[in-house]
Amino acid sequence: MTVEAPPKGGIGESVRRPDGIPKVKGDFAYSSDLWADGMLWGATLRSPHPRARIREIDISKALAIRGVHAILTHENVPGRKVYGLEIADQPVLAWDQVRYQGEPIAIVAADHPETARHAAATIEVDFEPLTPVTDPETAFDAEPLHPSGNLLRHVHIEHGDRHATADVVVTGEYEVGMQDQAFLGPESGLAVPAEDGGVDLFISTQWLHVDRDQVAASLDLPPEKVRITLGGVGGAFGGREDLSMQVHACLLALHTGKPVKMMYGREESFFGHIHRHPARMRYEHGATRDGDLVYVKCRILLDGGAYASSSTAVCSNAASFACGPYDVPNALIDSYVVYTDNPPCGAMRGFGAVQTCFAHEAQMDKLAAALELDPVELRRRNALAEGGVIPTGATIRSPAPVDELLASVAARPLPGPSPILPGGHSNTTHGESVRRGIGYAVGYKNVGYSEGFDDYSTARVKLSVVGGEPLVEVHTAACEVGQGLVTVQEQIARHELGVERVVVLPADTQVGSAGSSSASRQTYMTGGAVRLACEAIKEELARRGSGDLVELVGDDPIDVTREHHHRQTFPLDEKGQGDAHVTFAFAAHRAVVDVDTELGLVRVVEIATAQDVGKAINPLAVEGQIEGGIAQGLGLALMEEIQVVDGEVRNASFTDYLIPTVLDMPPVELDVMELADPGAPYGLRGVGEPPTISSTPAIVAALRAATGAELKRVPVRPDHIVGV
Amino acid sequence: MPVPPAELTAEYRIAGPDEAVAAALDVAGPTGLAREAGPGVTALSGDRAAVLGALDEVVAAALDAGAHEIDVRLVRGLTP
Repeated sequence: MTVEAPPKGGIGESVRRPDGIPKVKGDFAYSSDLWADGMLWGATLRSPHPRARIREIDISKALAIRGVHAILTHENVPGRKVYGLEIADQPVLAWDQVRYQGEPIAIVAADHPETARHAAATIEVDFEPLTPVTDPETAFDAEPLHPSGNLLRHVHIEHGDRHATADVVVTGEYEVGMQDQAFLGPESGLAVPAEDGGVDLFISTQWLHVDRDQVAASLDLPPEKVRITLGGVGGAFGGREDLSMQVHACLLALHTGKPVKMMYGREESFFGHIHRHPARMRYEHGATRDGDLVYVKCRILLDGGAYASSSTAVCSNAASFACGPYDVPNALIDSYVVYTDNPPCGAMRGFGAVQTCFAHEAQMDKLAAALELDPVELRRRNALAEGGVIPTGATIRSPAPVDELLASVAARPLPGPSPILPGGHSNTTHGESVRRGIGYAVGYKNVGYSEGFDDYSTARVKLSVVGGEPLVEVHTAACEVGQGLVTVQEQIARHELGVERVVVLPADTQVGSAGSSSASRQTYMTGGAVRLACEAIKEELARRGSGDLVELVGDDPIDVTREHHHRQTFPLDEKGQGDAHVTFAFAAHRAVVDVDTELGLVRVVEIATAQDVGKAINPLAVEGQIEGGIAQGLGLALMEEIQVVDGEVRNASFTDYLIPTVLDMPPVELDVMELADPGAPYGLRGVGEPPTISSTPAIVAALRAATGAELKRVPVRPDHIVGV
Repeated sequence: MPVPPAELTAEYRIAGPDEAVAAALDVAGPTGLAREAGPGVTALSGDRAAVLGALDEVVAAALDAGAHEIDVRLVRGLTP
């Protein structure tokens, strides 16, 4: 069969997403809206201490409260009592000690959410508070929080000559605070006990099958008895990769024989998921007097918090991308992640590259100043390009348009005076102390899973005739977390099969794994799987003959399942060398800011960005991803940080944890490049993460340009700007 | 990002004096393979040779320190 005239709504079109209008109108059914007749409500008792020994847990008074159906502790976990994405080191429910504030200790099911919360608060725990380990620098030699000590991973990269010397050397120390994913839909789910002794779980998550396998292990059930269906997800950004209440809700449902709903509030959500790793980084850049980079040396220290989560991969990513998208002939990189009693940290948009991009871009500006070169010129002079080699020894096999991206943002006309001054409508200035600054940054990151992981996604596609018209049904386990994946799957099926009527079925574990909605990988991986399945359908149609599609299918639907694997990658060796990454995505940003230098208030006037997306499957969705990523980068630059003091979170609310609103977002001038990656489906690259990576350092560079302040830490506070 | 399953995981529980548990931990900790897996349960995860080698030393240390019973469970293919 040949698709002669692709139908409306295929790839390359800005197809509107089905969840857009319902979300704007408040009609979208999030997982927090789930409901079952006769359901109970779950609640979690969490540790108030960042570190303590548990001497005794007394549930008797709580259990006597009217309306309470169950109170469970670690003793009621029938299977594996620990879980984790990379290292199973996190208790489902704590037994003899807690390692961070908010660690779950007991769970309650009751007939009303307030009753459940009251009962949880009534449980008596005899704690022996211990001195928490909170400084990642001293964690190396502190009392071990886990049996094998506090060093979780060290990645050492040695590239070229470790003793290289240079004409001009600049050094700097940088720090990134703990950012939260701040997704708008707090964790929620509904577990329903099944007649076969298993459980059905409806949940907002990022990877159904990894959730299923971990839940099944802890419930001591075979995986097929744990069926998970994706609920409506209100954002993720890495924060839903780890389990939150998945096991808890299922335990309560199986124990009571009733459906159990759990739903965190905003405050609890801050304790219910991991965050972006805070980082301390020390850099040294060496260059010739002409501005050619000679070497980069750096030490990166990431605070992993109490449990491993994705820390070992974040540590590796931070090392891999520590030098930025530049041709660096010699590099000496040491990246460490340690356990502490701070909140656990793990995956978040940008995944290690965000932290190091802030540092290496500050260094490039510092180097440009030392060389008396234009910052953009220095970057372009050293820009990585296709065929270049990165510090892990891998060769870039696809377009790496760093120079072109920088040229694009630099060529944009600059904005005129802003009608809104720093401080906005608070009327804190009439412009007398306002200075304008312009800053640039460029970054890159891997797409998909790295270091030898056999990453794949599965798609089942069925072509049938219903009501005399062809119908395509696409079934995957890929999680729509707000990125527009449902629409992308529809578009690919339409494009490949020439059928306009495409239905994407709910994502669940009844089909093979799709991997996680993370690492900018789902369009690449699940899109690739849908394409393969469609190609198999076309082969079957060709075998059936030629002619009208309806006649070829008739009453014999074609139903195929295919897996898409990306090319093999390899682990890094002891010197950090290896072909560890599938492919890369690049973006550049120019920020224009106005700063009230007396009050330290900032107005981001405009962000210009250029990004290579390989192929824009849905240009409108690409634009949305880029603008959203910039908003998250702006948040890290200026406002977003979880304040942790002695292991205790001080701002677990959206009153005190500030995120950008539409009023903070500047206009975004966008240049989307489509330089096809020959190894990728349709040549596409991931889109979601690069906007977050280099937008933050561009804004801070603009602040430095406006104020002359050194600004070594993000988020930048007003007092950093005014120097008090 | 998840990692491939460990080739082998050995979970053990030691019955005996506290000294036996401590002696086992003194050996298990530095291997880099150990983590807590439940009340009184320690897991060693990694390559088969590394896990079995470490387990041998852990068991010997625990017995030498007075352990009178050691339950060991070996599992293939768990998350490390």
